[in-house]
Amino acid sequence: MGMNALIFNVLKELGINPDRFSLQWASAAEAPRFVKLITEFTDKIKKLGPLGESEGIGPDELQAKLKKGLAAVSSRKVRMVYGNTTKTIRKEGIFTPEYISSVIEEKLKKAIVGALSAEVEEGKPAAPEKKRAPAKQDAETKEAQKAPAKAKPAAKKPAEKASKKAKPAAKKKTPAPLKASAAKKKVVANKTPAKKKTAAKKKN
Amino acid sequence: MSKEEYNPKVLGFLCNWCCYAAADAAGVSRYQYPPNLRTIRVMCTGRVDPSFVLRGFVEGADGIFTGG
Repeated sequence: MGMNALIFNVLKELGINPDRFSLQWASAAEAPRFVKLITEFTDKIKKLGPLGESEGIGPDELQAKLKKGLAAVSSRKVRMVYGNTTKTIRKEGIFTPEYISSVIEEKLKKAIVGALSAEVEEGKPAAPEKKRAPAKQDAETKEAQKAPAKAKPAAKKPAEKASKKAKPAAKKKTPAPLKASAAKKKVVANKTPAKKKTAAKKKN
Repeated sequence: MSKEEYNPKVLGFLCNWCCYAAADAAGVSRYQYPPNLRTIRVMCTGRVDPSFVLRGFVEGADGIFTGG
């Protein structure tokens, strides 16, 4: 349900009709219900027309917007806020769709808009990596403040192990369009262990 | 192109245990449903990530159906 609300919000921000995405349930024994759902959904999409037509967005602009949306959804900041929000929803124990969507909208709007506008300003795929860096450091310092001081020495060993493991993974992660120069690889490799460290601290 | 001729591309993320089995059962019991659905089987609807959906739209889907 949370994912549903997140996608609705992103599509709304991009100016795409959220009706184009649907999350439904049908059990294995409910073939007639599945047929009904899929027929209704297809009819709805038929009425809306091709992607971008009912929204009044040209194909090139649409592609750019969608890619922006994809980058925003994959950005660490949005994912972190989303994860924290779902955690709080679980704690509260209220699972009505209205409540979940309202909470997600309230908490994620800023992060989504921020992630989308960041890419608008920079316009290059390499830019968001740099932009995200300060946010993560902030998160790390916050974590450090939260975590008690005695957890630190214990956390060092797993963190070292994690950094060894993380280096090849980090190299893999850098996507091709980034024109992965050696310097950037180093930046990414340096970043990832820091993230693992916080994870290790959390465990302790 | 008139709207009657227009065939939308509908992408479906179907759970192996629920909607995918339901689609299978619908086929076995000869229910008619539109052929516009392109199915991607996932082992659980929880596996579907928001980025999958956005990527689906980037790749040219007109609508995305997620069935749990």
